[in-house]
Amino acid sequence: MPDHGSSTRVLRWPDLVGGVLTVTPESPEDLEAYLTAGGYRLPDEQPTPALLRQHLEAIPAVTALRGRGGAGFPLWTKMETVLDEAAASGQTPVVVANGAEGEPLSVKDRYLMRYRPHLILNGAALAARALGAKTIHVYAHDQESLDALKTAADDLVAMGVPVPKVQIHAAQDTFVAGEATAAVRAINTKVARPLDHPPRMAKSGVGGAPTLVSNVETLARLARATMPDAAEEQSPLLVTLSGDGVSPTLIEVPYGLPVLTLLASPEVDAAGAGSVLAGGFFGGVVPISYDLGLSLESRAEHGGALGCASLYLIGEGTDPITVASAVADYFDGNNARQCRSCVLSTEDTALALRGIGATPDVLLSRLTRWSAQIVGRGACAVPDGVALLLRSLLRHYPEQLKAHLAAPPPTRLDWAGLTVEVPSARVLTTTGGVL
Amino acid sequence: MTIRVDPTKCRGYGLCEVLAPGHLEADDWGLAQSRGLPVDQQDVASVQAAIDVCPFDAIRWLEEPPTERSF
Repeated sequence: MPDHGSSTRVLRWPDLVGGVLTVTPESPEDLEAYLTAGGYRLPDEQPTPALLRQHLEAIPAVTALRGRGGAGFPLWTKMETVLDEAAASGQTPVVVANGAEGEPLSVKDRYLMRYRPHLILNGAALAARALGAKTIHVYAHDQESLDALKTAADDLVAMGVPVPKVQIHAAQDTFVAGEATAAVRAINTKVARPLDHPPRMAKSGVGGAPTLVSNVETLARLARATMPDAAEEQSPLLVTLSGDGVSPTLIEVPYGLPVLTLLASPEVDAAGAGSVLAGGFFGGVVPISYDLGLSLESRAEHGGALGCASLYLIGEGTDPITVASAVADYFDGNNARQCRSCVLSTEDTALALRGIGATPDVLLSRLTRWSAQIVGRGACAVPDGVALLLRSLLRHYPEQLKAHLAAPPPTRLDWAGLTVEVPSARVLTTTGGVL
Repeated sequence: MTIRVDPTKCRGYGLCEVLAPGHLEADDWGLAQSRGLPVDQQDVASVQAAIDVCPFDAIRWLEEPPTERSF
C-alpha cells in the first residue's frame, strides 16, 4: 500500500447549515447525483435574467456572499457592476470561474473542482444567466481539476442540460496565475501576469467584454445558497488546516467560528498551537487568542486578513518569525518578476528576516519602514502581502523579531514543510457530521 | 486627481522626484512612488512635467482611487 500518511483529510463541522460537503465527501459527485439533489433547476424556473436576478436578490445568503478567492469582495456588488457596464456598452458579459489556486497552503478550490465540479458549474451558470452571459470560462492549473470540470461540462452537453457554453483553460502553475487580472490576461493572451491598473474587468475583460471573475468556491456558494437549507446569511467556510501538531485537514465550518473552538474540537485536536499563519500568505502571523474568529471582520481586527481562510498552525516551540521568514522567501522566489519595486523589496525583506544586510537595529528600522512603504507597490498584491506580514510581526511579536534579527536561527524552516497535499479520494476520511 | 507610478515600468531614473517633489518620492530602492496626495491646481503643471519626463511613461493620472489589488 502506498503511504498516504501526509494526505489531507476532509471533515464536516457537526450540524453545519448550508455546507458544500456532501455526506460522502470522499466520492466525486457526478451529474446524475447532482441533478437528483436538485441541481441546475433554477435557471429554468426563472427564465429571464431579470427574473433570475430578482429571485437571487431575495436570498440573504446570495447578497451576503463575499468572494472566497482572498479579497472578500461582495459577489453581488461585482455582478451589479458588470451588469451596469454591459448596459452602458451594449456588450454581452462573460463569466470566468477562477480555480487557479496558487496558495500552497490551500486545497479548498481543488477539492471543490475535483469532487463537486457541478456545484461550481451550476454557480457559474447562475451568474451567467443572471448577467445575460453566453459563455463561462473555467480557468485552473490542477490537471485533475481540469479533467473533472471537462467531464462535468461534457456530461451537461450529453444530457442536454441547458447551461451556457463552457470553455476550459489550463492556467500556469504559478503563484500569481490566479490573480484576477492575470487570469483574464492568460485567457486573452496566455500571459498569466497581473496588470497594473488594467481596464476594469467589469468593463473590459475577456475579449474586451464586461467580465465577472469569480473564485470557484464563491460560485459554488452561490449555487448552494439557492438550494434547500441554505445558510441564513454568511455561508460556511472551507478551511485548509495544516502545520504543527495537526494532520493536513480540509474542514467546513460555520462563518465566524472562533479559531480556538475549531482547534479544541476532538477531531482536530490541535489545542497546543500558539500562533497561526492565516489566509494563505496574505493574512499575516497572529497569536491565537480567544477572540480570533474565522471571519473577515475578526481577522481585520487582529491586523490580518481572512484571505483563502487557510490556517497554518505554529506550535509553542516554534519561533513564529521563522515561519514568516519562510513566507518571505517564498514571495521572493515566486513573484511575477515584473515590478522592480516588488522584486527588490521582497528580496531585501527575505534577506533581512534571515538577518542579512545590516546590523539588527538597522534591519529592524528598515523592516518597520518597509511595512508601510511597500504597500500598493506592485501590479498585484504581493508587496501588500509582504507588508501585512511585516506589520503582523511588528504588532504581535516585536520582542521575538528583535531577538531573531540579532541571532537568526541557523536553519530556517524548510519550505516543503509548509505545503499541503491535495485531497486524494483513497485516503479521505470523514466524521459525517458527528465530530 | 491623484497619480500612480506603474511599478512594472519604473526604472528609477529619478527625474520625476526632482520636478514634483511634493507628489513623488524615491523609495529605499531608488524607485519612484506617489505620495498619494490629491494634486491641487497649482501643482498640475509640475506633475505633468514629471509625467512627461519619464522615459518609460511610468506615471499616469488617476481619475479614481486605484482598484483593489488582490488574489
